[in-house]
Amino acid sequence: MSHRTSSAMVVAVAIAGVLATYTAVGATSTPPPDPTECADEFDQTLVDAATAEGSVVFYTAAHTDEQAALLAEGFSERFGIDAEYTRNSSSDVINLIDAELTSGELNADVVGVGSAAALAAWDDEGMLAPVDLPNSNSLAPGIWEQGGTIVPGHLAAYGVLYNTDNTPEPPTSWAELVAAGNIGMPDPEVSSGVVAFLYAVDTIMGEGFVEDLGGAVTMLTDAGTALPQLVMTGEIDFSTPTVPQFLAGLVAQGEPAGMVFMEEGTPVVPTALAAFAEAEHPNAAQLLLQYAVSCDFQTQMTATGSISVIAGLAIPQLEGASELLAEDLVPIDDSAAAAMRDELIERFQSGR
Amino acid sequence: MAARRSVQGRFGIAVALLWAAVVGLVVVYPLVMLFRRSVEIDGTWTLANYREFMRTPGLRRAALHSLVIASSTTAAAVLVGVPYAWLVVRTDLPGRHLFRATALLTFAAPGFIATLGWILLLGPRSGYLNTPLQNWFDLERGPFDIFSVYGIVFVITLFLYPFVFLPMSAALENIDPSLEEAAASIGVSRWRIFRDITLPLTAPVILAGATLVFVSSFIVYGPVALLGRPNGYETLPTAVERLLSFPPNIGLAAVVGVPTMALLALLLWIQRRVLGKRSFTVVGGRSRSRSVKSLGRWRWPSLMFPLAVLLLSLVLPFGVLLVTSFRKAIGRPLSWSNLTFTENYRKVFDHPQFVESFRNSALLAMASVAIAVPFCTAAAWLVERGSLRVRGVIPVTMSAALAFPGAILAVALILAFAGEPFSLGGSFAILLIAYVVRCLPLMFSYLQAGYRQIGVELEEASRSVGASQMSTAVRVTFPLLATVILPIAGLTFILNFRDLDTSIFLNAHSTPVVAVTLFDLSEDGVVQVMGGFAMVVLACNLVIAALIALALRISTRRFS
Repeated sequence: MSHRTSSAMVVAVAIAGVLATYTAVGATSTPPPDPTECADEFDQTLVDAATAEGSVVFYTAAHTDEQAALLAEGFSERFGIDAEYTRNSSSDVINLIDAELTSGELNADVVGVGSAAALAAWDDEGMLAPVDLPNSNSLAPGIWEQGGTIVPGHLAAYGVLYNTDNTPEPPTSWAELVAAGNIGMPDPEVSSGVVAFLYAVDTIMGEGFVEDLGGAVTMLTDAGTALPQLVMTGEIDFSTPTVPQFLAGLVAQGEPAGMVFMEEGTPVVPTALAAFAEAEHPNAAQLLLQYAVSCDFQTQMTATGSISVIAGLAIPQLEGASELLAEDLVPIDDSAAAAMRDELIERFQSGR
Repeated sequence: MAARRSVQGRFGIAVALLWAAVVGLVVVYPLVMLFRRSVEIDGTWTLANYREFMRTPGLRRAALHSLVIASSTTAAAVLVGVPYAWLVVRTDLPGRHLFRATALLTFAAPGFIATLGWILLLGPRSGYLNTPLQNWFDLERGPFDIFSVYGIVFVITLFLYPFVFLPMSAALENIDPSLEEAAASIGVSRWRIFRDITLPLTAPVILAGATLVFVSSFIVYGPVALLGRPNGYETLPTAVERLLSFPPNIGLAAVVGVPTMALLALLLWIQRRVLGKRSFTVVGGRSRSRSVKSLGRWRWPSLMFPLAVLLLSLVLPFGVLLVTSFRKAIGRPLSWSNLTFTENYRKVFDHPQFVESFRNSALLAMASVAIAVPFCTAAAWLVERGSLRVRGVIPVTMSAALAFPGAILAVALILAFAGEPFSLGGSFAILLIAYVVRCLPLMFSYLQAGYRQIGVELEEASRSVGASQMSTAVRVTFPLLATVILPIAGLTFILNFRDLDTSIFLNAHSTPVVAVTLFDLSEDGVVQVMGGFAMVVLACNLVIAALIALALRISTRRFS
């Protein structure tokens, strides 16, 4: 059993495993299981030890505010352990933890970020604790090796957000999107997720596309902030990369929001969760990670638009989104994306 | 000429030692920790981060852009704030009390909220003000583009002009009118009186306000990120954000604060040199009555200027957010069927963190003001009344926090207080420290300027009849400072109540604050609920501003 895993490799394999499972079971036509039918089991010794600790703290960029709240509330309700969270962007979470480590007192027990590459440095230094998942047999084959340190939390598919009233016929391919123009994006210089996205479309579309995309983007923002608003008001026509969780929130508000997944391929980004080896509440941290990938919580995540890591759980088909099929998903090797960061940004900027 | 009174007694030394202890702990220690981070890489002391800063073209360009933004905004804020204050305080302008009270409200919400409002108004493709013009004149795009340098300066000026307006108003209130009346009696024109008497007497507050506007606009983040990034226009704070992104480089980001501190020290030195040892006493030992100039036939035309300021700084940006708070969907046209007057506000009041975030923000704001007022008053007293040799470092030290963007300051506080022996990470206490540190520059600056306007002879007269220094301070000086303390306390409360830049880094879910909750709503795309939340924040601050204005009127009547 290895205690340190090559994070990016295992995640890429994990996603491939998930996709294979979805294809094998025809998951697009299988409804998600009823949460009450989940038969999650947790080691009572661990539960008792975690309960004695009383609380757990997690800093997350891997969840929306809604998802983080669901995780905290569900965990507290299930085990009677206080779960406190701070939600922020990946870079802010990492900087916060980095500063706490420098100060000598780490508050976080568990960390969640947008991609495993962001945790690679800590993993290599042995700062992350090995994890055992009791439901490892329920996860897609190849997605998880017991004793690993970085747990794939869920998968986020990158689509294109648009206003259905203003754009009744959205583009259905990346090439059409670039031709249509008036696109808004988070600045790749401040968003590791966008770097991964650029890597993915570069892989999917080939040479020259990243430059063309740079030329078609009319608005860069500091993060995802304000992009949905700018699309809805018509200041921009499209925003990408956008995850389905945003669409769900907009549709719930009554907005004329739509999301399209491109026919050439939809990048899929795995989120990464980990517990710190020196956590103040090590048992509660382990239990939280186990709960985060449990059938119970993963089912709740699919309801918010995320793709689960559990075998057999359907790819969520959200209202307002084009159909998302397993064969269209393109897994991202985020360590390769991180290695190409400077080149991708330079090429993107050269097209602007 | 007012003479600085030597404070050699034990009282003065005790105050100085107490000041040094507190400022050393909450300001100097965190900044030292941050500086250490900027010169230490993997345990080795090195200037590599500084060399990289100088070598990186993007950072040099960002520094230049910061200078451009800061210079332009400062000039604009002075051009708006000074005449606005004169009109409101010294003339019979209709509605002047309203204009004065509402100036505080420009700070009612975090800067990014007002900026989002201006994007809704002046977005080149779909702005509510641009679209009609676009249609009428058959243009491809609206004539106004908020996503430009001009847009950035425009928005920040409307946000920061009160830093000049408020102290200028207080200073004009305190000027002995006999000075101006004497000049008028010998036929000097109004313009010359203003230029040769009023302006020089108010120079300390104008310079203090201008310095604050300059440094604040130098390091402002929200408006530049929202309005500049779309066109690749970067200033130092947005460059810092890029450095803090993955892979993070806190050491290099910390370097950014150093040139800003150097700039700040230079500005303060210039301020001292310009003001020198001149006297700006305007509150002397004789009683005075306030004079209000009649504008005559210019009374109603003069109203256009303050109305325009009120419209642009408050009514339009917050008005559009008010309308947004009544919309069901911002993606559909504005129509009766797309309006709801209760649904979004129901969601606001049902928000799980609504009560807690308001409570935390109110407590933090009140506590930080309660701590900062006596501390800054003592510091200003040491500078303006003391004779300690080292008093020259007090203004720079008290203003040091201004040199660092909120995120960097938050990192400094974490480095200092999250670990042993303090262990304050994620706590209410570290937020309180942050709020106190953030408000020191502004409060100290105004109180120092206020002290300059009070004649020493008043305090000497009190001491000469046997009153102690403490008794003199409490019974003579502080009541005269009330016209400065009250508005600055109110302004600081409002600023801290809606602080985002530092809070977003330091707050945990268990200590929610208003600005972070607003930001989360914005990030989640629920702009309508965010608009409603912002309106509730505005309403609370409206009450605060009204109370401050009332207290100010009572105190000025009492001491006039």
